[in-house]
Amino acid sequence: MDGTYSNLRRPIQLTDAVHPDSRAADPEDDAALIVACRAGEMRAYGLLVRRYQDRVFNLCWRMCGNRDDAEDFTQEAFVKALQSIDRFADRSRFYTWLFRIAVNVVITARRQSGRRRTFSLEGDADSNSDGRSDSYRPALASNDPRPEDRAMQSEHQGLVLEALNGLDEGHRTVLVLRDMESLGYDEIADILSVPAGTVKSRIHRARTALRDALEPLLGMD
Amino acid sequence: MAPDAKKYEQLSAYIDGELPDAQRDKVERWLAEDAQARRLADELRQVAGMVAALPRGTAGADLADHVIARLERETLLGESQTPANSATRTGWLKPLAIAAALLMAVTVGWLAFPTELEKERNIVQLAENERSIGTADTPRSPPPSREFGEFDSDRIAKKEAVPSPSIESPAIAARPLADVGTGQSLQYEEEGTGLGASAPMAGGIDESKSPARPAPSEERLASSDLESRRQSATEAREHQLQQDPTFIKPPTPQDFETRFAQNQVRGLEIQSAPIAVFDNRLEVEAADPDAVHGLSRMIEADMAGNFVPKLHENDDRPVEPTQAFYCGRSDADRRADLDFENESNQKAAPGDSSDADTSARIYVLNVPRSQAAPLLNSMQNYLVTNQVESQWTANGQPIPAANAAAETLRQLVPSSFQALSASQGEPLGMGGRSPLNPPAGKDSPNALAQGSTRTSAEAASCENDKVAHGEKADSDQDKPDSFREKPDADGDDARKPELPYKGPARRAGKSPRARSGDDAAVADRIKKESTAPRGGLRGRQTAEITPTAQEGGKSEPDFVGPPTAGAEFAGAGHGGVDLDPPAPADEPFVTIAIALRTTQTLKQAAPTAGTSQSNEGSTDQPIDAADNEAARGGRAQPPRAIGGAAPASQPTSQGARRG
Repeated sequence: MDGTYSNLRRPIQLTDAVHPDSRAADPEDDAALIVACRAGEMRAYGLLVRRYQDRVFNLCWRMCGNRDDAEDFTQEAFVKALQSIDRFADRSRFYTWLFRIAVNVVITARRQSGRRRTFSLEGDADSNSDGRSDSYRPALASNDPRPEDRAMQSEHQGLVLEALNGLDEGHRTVLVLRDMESLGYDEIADILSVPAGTVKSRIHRARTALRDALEPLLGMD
Repeated sequence: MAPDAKKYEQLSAYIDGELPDAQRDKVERWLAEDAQARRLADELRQVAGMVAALPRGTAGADLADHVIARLERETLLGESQTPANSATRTGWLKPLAIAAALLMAVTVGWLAFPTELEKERNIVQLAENERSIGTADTPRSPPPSREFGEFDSDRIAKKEAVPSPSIESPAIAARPLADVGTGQSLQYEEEGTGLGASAPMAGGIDESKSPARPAPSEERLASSDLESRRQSATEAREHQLQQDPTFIKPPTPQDFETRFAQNQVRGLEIQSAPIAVFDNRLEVEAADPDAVHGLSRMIEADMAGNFVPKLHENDDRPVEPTQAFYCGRSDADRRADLDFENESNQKAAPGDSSDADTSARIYVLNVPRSQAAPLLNSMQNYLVTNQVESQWTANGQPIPAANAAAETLRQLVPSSFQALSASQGEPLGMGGRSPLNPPAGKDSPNALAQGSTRTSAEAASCENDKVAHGEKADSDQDKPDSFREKPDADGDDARKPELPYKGPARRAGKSPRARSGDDAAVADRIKKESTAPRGGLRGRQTAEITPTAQEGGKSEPDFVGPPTAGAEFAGAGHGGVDLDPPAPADEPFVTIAIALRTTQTLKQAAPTAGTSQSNEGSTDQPIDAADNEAARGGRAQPPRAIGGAAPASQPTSQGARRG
C-alpha cells in the first residue's frame, strides 16, 4: 500500500449510481474507489470492474479475436489489477493502467498458446469447421433496418476484422487502442510502454496495411 | 526510415489530431499542394473509420461477480488461473486438477495431524512464548483441567471489582477457602496466553516432587509486577478472543442478569460463563474425586427428580428466566451424565478411572427460593460430612459466619453422619426420592448422597441426642465404605465412637429442640412459613432448617437463618411438611451456581482397586483427618502425590484474595 488514505475522507459512493460509462467517469471517482479497494472494500472494486469491463473486454476481444477467450482475459486482467493495485501510480489514469494489464495478459496468453490469429468474430460456437464465422453479428447500434444493408455491412465488417486480425499484434493493438478506444498517442504509449513516436509510426503503418488489405472497400461509402 | 515515410506518418497523426499546431499547419499546406497525399489521407481516414465502426461487445453482466469470486477464491486457496490455461482447457487439465485436489487433501491432513516432532516444536514454542511474557519464573504445573479456569483467581478478582446486582443472598453457613487454610494451591499458566492463574487445592500435592518455590517475601515483591503483566496479558488475550468470531464471550454479571431476566441467556453462554458471574455461588474443591462426584450426583438426583432441564455443552436453547437447570462442563461430564442416567454406573468402582471425576463442572440452579434452602443445606451437609473444601459466596462476598458453623459441624460429623447412615428413615431432603435415587439403606450404594440430603443441623441434632443418651456408636462394619472411619493420621486405628441412631428423622414442629427455649420463636417462624404455599420443586420437603441452638455446650450457628448480615438467604424456604402445592406465580427464584472441582484425578492416583483404605485413588473415602486438621489449622498439608502437580505460591480462592 502506498498509503494514500487521505482520500478516504471523501465519501465514496459505493452504489450502483456511480456512472457506469468509463468514458464519462470522473478520475477522482476512480481514485476514491481505488483507495477503497486498497482498504479492502471489494464493493468498490466491483464498481470499477463494472465501469471498465466493456472497454477491457472489447480491447481483449479485438486483440485475440475470440469472445470466450476475451472474457477470460478480461477477468484475468481485473484480477491482476486488483492484486497489484498497490502498485498503481496515481499519476496515471486508472484505465490506461488497466489497459496495459489487459494488453499484457492477452499478449502473454497468446504467446503461450501459440495462437496468433483468430478469425471468428462472435465466438467459436458460430464458427464453421474452417474457423470462419458465417454469422457475423453486426453492430446492434446500426440504424439501417434493411437486411441487405445489414448483410453488406456485416460483410464489410468481416473483411475489416479479417484484415485487422491479419496485422501483427503490435499494429493491431495500436489500432484498436486508437480507433476503437479513442486513446491519445501518449496514452497508447503509456499503455504499451513505448515512445509516442513509435505509436505514431505503428499507427500509420497499421492503417496503411489495412488500407492495402481493404482497398476494394475503399471508396464504396 | 525514409524521409517520405516519416512525412507520411504525419498524415495519420494529422487525422488523429495528434500534431502540434506548427506541424498541423505544415501538413495542411502539404495536403493543399499534393493531391496524392490528400487521397492517402482520405483512405487512412476511411480505414480508421472502418475500425472504429467495428461492432462492440459487452462483457457478461456477471463479470464483476466472477472477478470478485475468483479473487476471493484465489485469496483463500492461493490458486491462480490464467486465461491461457482456460483457453487451452483440454484433457490434461483434469488429471492436474485431481492431482491438485489430492495434494491439497494431503496438505490439510498434514496440517491437521502434525507429526510428533511438530507437536514437540509447538510445545517448545509455547513454552518460549510464555517465558517471553515473563511468568516463567513462577513455578507452575500444567492445569489440572481446562475447567480450572472457572476458579481462575484473575477472573474472580475481576468479577469482584464489578459491583453486580444480586438476586438473593443465601445465608448458608460456610467458610471461605482462605479461612480453611488450604495453604497450598496449584498455579499454572493458561495455555497459550501466558496468563498465570492459580487455583486452590485442598491437598494432594507431593512437595517433594514439585520444583523449588520462591520465598513468600519474593512472591510479594514480584506480585505487583506479575499482576500487571497478567493484566496486560489478559487484555491481549481478550482482544485476541474478541477478534475470533467463534469465541463466545462470557457475559458480564450485569449482562447476564439483564439477559437472564429477558430470557436471552442461552445454554452455551452459561457454559462459557465463569463461575464468578453468578452472585450466589458455591465453589467446591476436593482432593477426593468421589466426594465431588457424589455431590454432583446428589445435585443431579435432586434436580433431575424435579424435572429440571439439563443443558449440555452444545445445548444452545434459551434459558427461561424461571427455569432451573444445570449443565455439565465437558465431554467427561456428558459421559458422566450418561452413566448417571443409565443408573448403571452411578458410583465408580474403586480403582475405576472415571473421567467424570477428573473434571470440573458447574451447575446453575434457578430454583424457587423456598426450595433453595433445603438443597443448600443438603449440600452443605454433604460438604461438611465429607470434609470437602468449599466456599459459599453470596452477593459476591464470602460468608464469614459460615466458618464457625462448618467448623462445628466438622467436629460433630463423623459420629453423627454414621448415625444418619444407620437410620432407616425415609430419605429427607430436597426433591425427595428420585427415580435415580433409590431408597436409602445402610447397604445402599447411594447412602452417601441420600444421607447427605438430610440437613446438617439434623445430623448435628441427632448426634447430640445420642450423646445425651450416652449411646455408643455402632460398628461401621455393616456400613458402606464411605461411611467408615479412616485411621488417624498418626496411625491410630481406633475409630471414633459411634452412636446408634434410634430416633426418627426430625420433622419441623416435632423437634424437641425446636420446641425448647429460644428456638420456639424460630419454630413458630418455620411453621408459619411452611404453611405458606410453596412452588417449584415437587416431592417430599422434609428438610428442616435448624435454628441456632446451644447444645452440648457448643455453639451451632444457624445454617440458613437470617443472623448473618449480608449473607441472608432471604425468604429461604423452610420445609418440614410434606407439601405438593402449586407453585405461586410470583414466587421469587434464586440463581445459584455451584462449581465442583477435584484436585486429584483417579487416573493419576495410585491404583487401589478393591480397597478404600488408601486415600490416594480412593473413590469411597473422604480426605483423611490429617488433611482436615491441616485445613482447619491453616497449616500446610502433608504432601500427597497427585501426579506431579506442583504447588503454587498464591492461594487463589476468593476469600484469600479478599484477605
